[in-house]
Amino acid sequence: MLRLVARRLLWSVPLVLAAAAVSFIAVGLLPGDAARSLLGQNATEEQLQEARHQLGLDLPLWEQYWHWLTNALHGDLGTSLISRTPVVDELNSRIGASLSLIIGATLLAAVVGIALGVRGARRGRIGRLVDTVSVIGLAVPDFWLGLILVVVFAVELQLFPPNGYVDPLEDPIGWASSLVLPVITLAVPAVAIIAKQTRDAVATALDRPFVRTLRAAGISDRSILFRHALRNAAIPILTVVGLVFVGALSGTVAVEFIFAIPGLGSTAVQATAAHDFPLIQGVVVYFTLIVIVVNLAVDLAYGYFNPRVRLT
Amino acid sequence: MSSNPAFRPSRRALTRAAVVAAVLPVVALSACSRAGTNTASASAAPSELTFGTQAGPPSLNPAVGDPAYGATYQWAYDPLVVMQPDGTFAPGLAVKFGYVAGSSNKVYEMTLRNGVKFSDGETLDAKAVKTYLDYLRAQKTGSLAPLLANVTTIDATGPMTVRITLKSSDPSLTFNFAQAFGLGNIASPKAVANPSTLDKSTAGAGPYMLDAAQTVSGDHYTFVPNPNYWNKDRQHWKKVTLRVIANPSSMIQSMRSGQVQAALGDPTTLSAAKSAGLNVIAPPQAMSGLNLLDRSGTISKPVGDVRVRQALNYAVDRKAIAKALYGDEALALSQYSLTGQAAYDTALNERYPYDVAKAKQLLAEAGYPNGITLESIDTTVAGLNKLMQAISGQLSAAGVTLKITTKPGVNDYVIGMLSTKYPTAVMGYGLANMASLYAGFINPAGPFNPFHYKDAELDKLYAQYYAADEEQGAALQKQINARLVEQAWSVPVVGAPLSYYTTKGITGLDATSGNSGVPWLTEIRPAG
Repeated sequence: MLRLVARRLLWSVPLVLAAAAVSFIAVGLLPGDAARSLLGQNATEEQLQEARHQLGLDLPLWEQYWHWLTNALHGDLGTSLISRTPVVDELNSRIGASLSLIIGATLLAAVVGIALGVRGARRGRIGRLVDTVSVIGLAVPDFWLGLILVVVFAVELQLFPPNGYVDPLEDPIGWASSLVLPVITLAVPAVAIIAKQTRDAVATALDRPFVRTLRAAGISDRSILFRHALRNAAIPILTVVGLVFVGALSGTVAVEFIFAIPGLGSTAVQATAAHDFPLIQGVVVYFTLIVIVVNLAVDLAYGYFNPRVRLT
Repeated sequence: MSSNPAFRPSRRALTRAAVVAAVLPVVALSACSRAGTNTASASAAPSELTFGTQAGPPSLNPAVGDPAYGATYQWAYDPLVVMQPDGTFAPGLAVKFGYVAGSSNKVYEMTLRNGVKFSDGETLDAKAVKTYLDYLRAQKTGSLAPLLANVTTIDATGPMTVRITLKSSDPSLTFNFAQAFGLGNIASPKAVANPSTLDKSTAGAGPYMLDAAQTVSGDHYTFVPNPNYWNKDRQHWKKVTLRVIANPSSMIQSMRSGQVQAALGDPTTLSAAKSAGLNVIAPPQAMSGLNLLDRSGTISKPVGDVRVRQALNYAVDRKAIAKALYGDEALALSQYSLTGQAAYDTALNERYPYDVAKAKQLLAEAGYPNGITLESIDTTVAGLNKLMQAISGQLSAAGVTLKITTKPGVNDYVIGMLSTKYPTAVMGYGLANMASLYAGFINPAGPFNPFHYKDAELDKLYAQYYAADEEQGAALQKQINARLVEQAWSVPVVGAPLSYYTTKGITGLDATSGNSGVPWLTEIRPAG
């Protein structure tokens, strides 16, 4: 198991470097630059050239990347070209909101999705209902669902704030309250995916010969379902939960926009619009690290549910 | 299995109980916290204001910030001059201001208000203003420094008197010192000596100051009363929070729920805001339409012919477009100035009535009886692509086909215009006076004149306007406006509004064309 962890961590280094290089090249190919964002529409070409020189944007792309990389290896992701604040500070102040949203949505989706999937695995009407709910959940656009939730629960019923994010250290209740609607918005499509996967995996496990043996031994249906079938179905479910978490990273872009949450997703959009190279690179590095950590956690969970993995 | 099954709750009941137990605390606690807020707001005039805006400023430093983010700076920085809703200028930090008589409008003097202190305790005097303005014009980034590029020297000629000497006259200087551009948002000399402090905090002479501990950049900015403010009567709130809500629909919902009391609006939500019962203030602010860039006919011979340009002006039904896009045909615009501004001339509204037959006749006279096809560029920003679609649809009736390339952002759109590959482009240009129109639109080096077109008659009028006093200047601005209309520099279609929304119980937000749609936000106060 330790070898697995070590191998994964070793692989993460080239992965981060590759992701950063690809994004650097991609952003470099975009038309426009941060100098125009900083100086506005009426700036003359001379003023733009001066600003580009000040910001180091007149250097060749590889040289800009090299400067960025050498600093990044020392933990310095640079300074935002637009706000002139350190990228690390900027992203650290936003990662809490994104993680609250993503972890909350993944947990909610996992609990509800697995519960629905397990009930659905017994086939019959509930099984068909799970299928139907899955299709609807996947089909509903998050921006539409978000707006509907806001109108009903924030504007009409006034149960939750319509948008915004509250620091949990300042106001834990306000924090929980501010997350309810965005978490539900982000979780609904994921519930559908997890429910479908759980239903199929548990149904497959229930069809396997060991279940017949357990039944013959007089083990109750409930025990077979929760202690044996679900445990056997855990690996594909875990895989999907991991994928849901990673997918929620991109889902935050729309949800943070709708609910005015200052997270990494909205920062990525603003940084890209302003051609803020260092900030875009910082977001890419943070997203990549989150994906690596989640994948590692899923691998470790595999080991818990499947002893054979621990031997690799 | 010793317990009596009759007393065991079913698994379904347990599940329901678990769900209720999990959800209720959040709902109940949320309701409690909301109830507290509502009680406070219902019992008396509100003491806290939340103002919604769609983006936070790139920097809190007023010297490198962008005027587009004035809604952030205004709370902490009083301007030197205040532009009033009727378009006149009133004292701000400066009690007297203007060009020195006999200086050919090249020497500008200001007398500062006595007894003003910055939020950090420093005193406002001539040295402080000179220090800040010298710092500002030395900046290499930010869109404000170029506005002082014409300045030779800034001198403190007395304890409270500042003299600005210019290379050539600039009729926009007073306007630039007012709240719309914020050139006069003076920061304290102590902060200027250590400018990095201006990135994280404020040091102005305005009614409020930033509470950095309660601020998350790009999300919300909290302002508390400035204890050193010279006029306590203007501190209407115990706390002002600037909330960044990028999604215009979410802004409306926030106002409906009572979370936000005043906000910057958006053209796409004007109708929704009215339907939601909000007070909508939407004065026309930007000249929007089709810019005829290639007036010299460099890449498109038709655009170089004034008859074709005039034909395009006849072929657009401005009132229909204004009604369709903004629900208000009064926003139709066919000149280069807005009602309430010095250059505005009602007679010019009649120069190009909607007349497709006249348009076709002019095209035929210019040698294009079968119509023309023009390359054009637009952008999705501020819904300008929708305006372009409307214009394109109407021009087609006169035999004019627009081949439009759409760019997603302002950067790409400006780069496209500057590429000189497009003879026409959509335009959205904020109107204040003829000097600000010159900066980016008439100026051969301006981005809205990428083919560097010059008109000798216009140059002559501008030279006279720059040297004129205020009264003569107003007449000359009208003449410049008339010349632009006659030469059909572009096809102005609508005066796109800069909109604001307020909830009931809020007053003081006076945005008009006179103040370029930029009110003095610190005048917002509880009604009654």
